Amino acid sequence: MIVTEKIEKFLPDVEKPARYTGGELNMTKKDLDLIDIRFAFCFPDVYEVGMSFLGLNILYKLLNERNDTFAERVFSPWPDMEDKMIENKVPLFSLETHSTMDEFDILGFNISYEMCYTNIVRALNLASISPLYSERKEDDPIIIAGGSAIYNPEPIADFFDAIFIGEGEESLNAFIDLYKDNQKKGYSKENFLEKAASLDGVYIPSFYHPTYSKKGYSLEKTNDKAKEKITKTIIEDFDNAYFPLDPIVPFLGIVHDRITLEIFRGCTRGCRFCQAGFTYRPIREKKSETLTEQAKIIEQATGYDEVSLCSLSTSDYSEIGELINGLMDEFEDKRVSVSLPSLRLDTVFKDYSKRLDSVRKSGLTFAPEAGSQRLRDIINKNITDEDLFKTMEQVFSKGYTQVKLYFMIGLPFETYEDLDGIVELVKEVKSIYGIAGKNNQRKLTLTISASNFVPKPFTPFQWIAQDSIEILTEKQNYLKEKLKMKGVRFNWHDAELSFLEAVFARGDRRLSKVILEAVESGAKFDSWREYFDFSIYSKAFEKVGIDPAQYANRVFSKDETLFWDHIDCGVNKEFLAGELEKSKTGILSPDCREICLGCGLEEVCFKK
Amino acid sequence: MKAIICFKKQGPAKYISHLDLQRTVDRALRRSGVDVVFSSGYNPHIKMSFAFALKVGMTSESEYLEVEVGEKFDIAEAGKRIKNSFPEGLEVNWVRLKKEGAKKLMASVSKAGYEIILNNSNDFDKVEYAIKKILNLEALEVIKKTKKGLKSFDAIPLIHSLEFDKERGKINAILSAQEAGTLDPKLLADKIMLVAGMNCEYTVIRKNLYTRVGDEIFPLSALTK
Repeated sequence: MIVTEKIEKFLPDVEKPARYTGGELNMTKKDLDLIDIRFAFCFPDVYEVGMSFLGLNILYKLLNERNDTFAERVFSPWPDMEDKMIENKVPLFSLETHSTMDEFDILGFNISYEMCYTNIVRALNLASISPLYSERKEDDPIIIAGGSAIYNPEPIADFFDAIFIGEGEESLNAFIDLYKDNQKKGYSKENFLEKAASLDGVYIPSFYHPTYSKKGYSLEKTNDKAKEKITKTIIEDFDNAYFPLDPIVPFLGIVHDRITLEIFRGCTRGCRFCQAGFTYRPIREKKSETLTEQAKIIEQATGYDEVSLCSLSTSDYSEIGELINGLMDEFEDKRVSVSLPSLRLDTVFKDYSKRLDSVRKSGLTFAPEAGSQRLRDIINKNITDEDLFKTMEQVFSKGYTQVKLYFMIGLPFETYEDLDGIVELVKEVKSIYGIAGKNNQRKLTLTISASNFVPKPFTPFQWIAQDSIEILTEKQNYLKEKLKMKGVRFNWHDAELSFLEAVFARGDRRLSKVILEAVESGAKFDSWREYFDFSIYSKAFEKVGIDPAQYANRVFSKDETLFWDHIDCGVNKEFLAGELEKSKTGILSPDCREICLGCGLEEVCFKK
Repeated sequence: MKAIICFKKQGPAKYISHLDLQRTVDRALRRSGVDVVFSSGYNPHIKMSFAFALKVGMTSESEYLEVEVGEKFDIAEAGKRIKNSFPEGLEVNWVRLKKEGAKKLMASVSKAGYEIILNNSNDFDKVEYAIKKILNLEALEVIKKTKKGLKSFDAIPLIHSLEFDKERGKINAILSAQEAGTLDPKLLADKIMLVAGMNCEYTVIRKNLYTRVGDEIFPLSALTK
């Protein structure tokens, strides 16, 4: 409680103090005398981002279902708060009880993007705990990590005692059981980790040793309890999977401030750049009636005024019509709206959308990804110009005036003709608005957003070199010039940030030194434009003696051992290599609901 | 028909900003399931308004809001439901129907009552002296920060009453709010400290909001049936 008193003195002076107080509706409370294990979920970003993250909400409530465990939340303090904490000697603390990290048994970090790595180190620094497992003491908490961006754990492997690959719901519970047993018997941390090494999906970095030589890279086991391959865990019965029905309702406006229903996991489209499209496989759906029922209960427990459907490709959900009708029947009178993110161009305006018409006419977002058919075939984005134009015609004639189109630049085998394709597409969409949208009250606002291709592990493009920062910038400038049109807004992603993303996505353990060095020089909140400073990283790479281009801009050979080869995400490497070959000649792979392509998950994949 | 809800704002909830408070109360009313009126349009929201915004970080014993209610709104039942649905830190004191024809709540506020609690000090003679002195002044210049810079004004006409509860170490102040200008209790408290020659930490709590009829003031509950 000392923390509470101390922060009370400066909370009125920091931005959004409600980030740090806890006490929100549906927050879990427990009597500390009645529990055995204290677990801190650490999200290495600010409260509003962390609280918007569904995975954190699921695991938080799941662990708190246990009578022996109290899971609390910890977020990165925003820099103004961090300064105040350091100045007033307040260590990192949890929201539920304002406890400091040394009071916890286990700290679990959620890793959902590469650019949060420096915030992990900052959090541990603020807790006065060494970020390196090799330097931590026997009585320090066990520090673990999991999440969607940890399929190549190597750049941060030196920080964690254990890393969870895949969907952690079950393995985390088994891990805690084991920990509890170990504590009772008074066994050592090493002994505990040896036992934990046998759990599905659990990777113990200290049991492996990397060597880098001219002959290549290898990762040797140093403990015979270590597994050859760490296979990701999968929840098979997704319809019955645990889902919290009383999620925490923040006082503060957060990024996703609404009921989020996870309608299915996985994606069958197989876009060749998309890591989630492969690592979230196989596809598993929840029944529409399960979802409607869950939404009903959550609405009563929270009072939210919006329900949003979450998945990788909402319109691919096989019961989408029933679901939307069910939700609208339930919620229309209660003034709760239903929103659909990530729509595909070829499936938007089916019958169900008629009901949505009566609700909202704000903006719509679509992702053609590439400007030409040739390039869309290379990346296996199964849509045509026709699909786009037809959809735009429908959208505009229904009164929509704001449309956002997502593209990616720097894609494999891209030429300037493909970029011209984007420009042509934009021109065509504008002229369609001139006809289909001529009766609309407002002028068209067309936002074109271009992200940069980042080669990601466990995708067919994992071997591909990323365009250099210079080339990406040239391409951005080219488009910037050509897209200077009335009613068109062009956004692009920072090329330097995308470069670092590629470095860390395809990196190895040597990068942990770079992360530590960057933190020493003040790196923080790298995914926030106001704090990202590329020069800090340039200097850190130089100081540590690492050429970052060898991770980002190099073609990885098919014969070399990849830094993530000890991780098995279910989709096998041969399949990915085959997809890469097909991409070179623009051969499409069908949606795997139509024909099974044999990616390696046949045994657990849904049967028709 | 409108209902007035009077509630406390304390504990972690005192850090809820005014905008976030609207959202929080909107959700609480939705959870309560009572018959409230929504605005029309694509983003319907509950038709409600707060009497007088409270500074982030300040505790209050009586905040007020009015909400338009529908035909099925049964005051006895609704009161219970609303009390149960407000989150921790926002404790409902009461829910009552508003008198027909009463002015908008926001336009009715004339004064706000505060309690200034002196922490870690028992030099109460000095405080007593300072308050007496201030009350005898013809003018008291205070300076407030505005968006356009510092602005000086006379606080005396904005002080309705100012007393010192010497036994408890608490200053009770009723200050002008909304109607004829607003005096921030912290500006007054700082002035009292200055005149007393003290440097003592204090906590300000809002006790109540008042409406004015002629020269007399009444708590906003006077606007209810």
